Amino acid sequence: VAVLQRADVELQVREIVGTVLRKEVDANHLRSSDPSWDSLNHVEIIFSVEDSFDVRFDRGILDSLNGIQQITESVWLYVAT
Amino acid sequence: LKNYYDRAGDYYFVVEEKTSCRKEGLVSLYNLDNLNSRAEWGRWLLRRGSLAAVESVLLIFTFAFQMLKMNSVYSLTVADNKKVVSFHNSVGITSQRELPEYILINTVLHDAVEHSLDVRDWPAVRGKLENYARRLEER
Repeated sequence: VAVLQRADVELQVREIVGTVLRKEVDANHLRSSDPSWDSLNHVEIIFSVEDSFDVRFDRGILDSLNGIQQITESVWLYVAT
Repeated sequence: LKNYYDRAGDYYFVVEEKTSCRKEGLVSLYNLDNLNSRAEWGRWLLRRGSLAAVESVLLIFTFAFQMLKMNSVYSLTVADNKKVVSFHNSVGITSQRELPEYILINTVLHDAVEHSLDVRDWPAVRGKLENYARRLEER
């Protein structure tokens, strides 16, 4: 049985962000420093992440997810608990 | 703001969260050109952290295309406002043009980007926005 590791989550989040933004992104990519990570792309990224990991973020934290590390951490909290 | 209320063909909306009625921001449709069935949308302000961007744009387009029967709706964005320029592109508005030194702010002329959505492209944009709005509404 394959066990999901945090690194796997991060890699998949990176792939989703890169797909939506249509470019290569590194693990520290931030929403706040990327003009193409606009509010519409943000919801698309969040929904893709939710679908991929079968998680659901509370509405209250959606806007605060400012980059790949924060999204990864939030997913990890769901899947690891 | 009071001047806007007195202008003909100038619609100003307060965007409210449906359950709490919290005010999320403002959005407006104006410069109605009935001859060409065209209008401008903008004066779009949302509180920091608001998730109402998708729904407010969906509503202003719905108002323009389905209630006022406009043929096209356009917006003007300061070119340096790259997040908002990107937002319009992400919505799926493919018709855009650069307007050098077009917007005057505090005596300084700024380059602008005009995004124009034709009613023929509205169904595709509506589908995308409605899908996101529905998922946002679910939580």
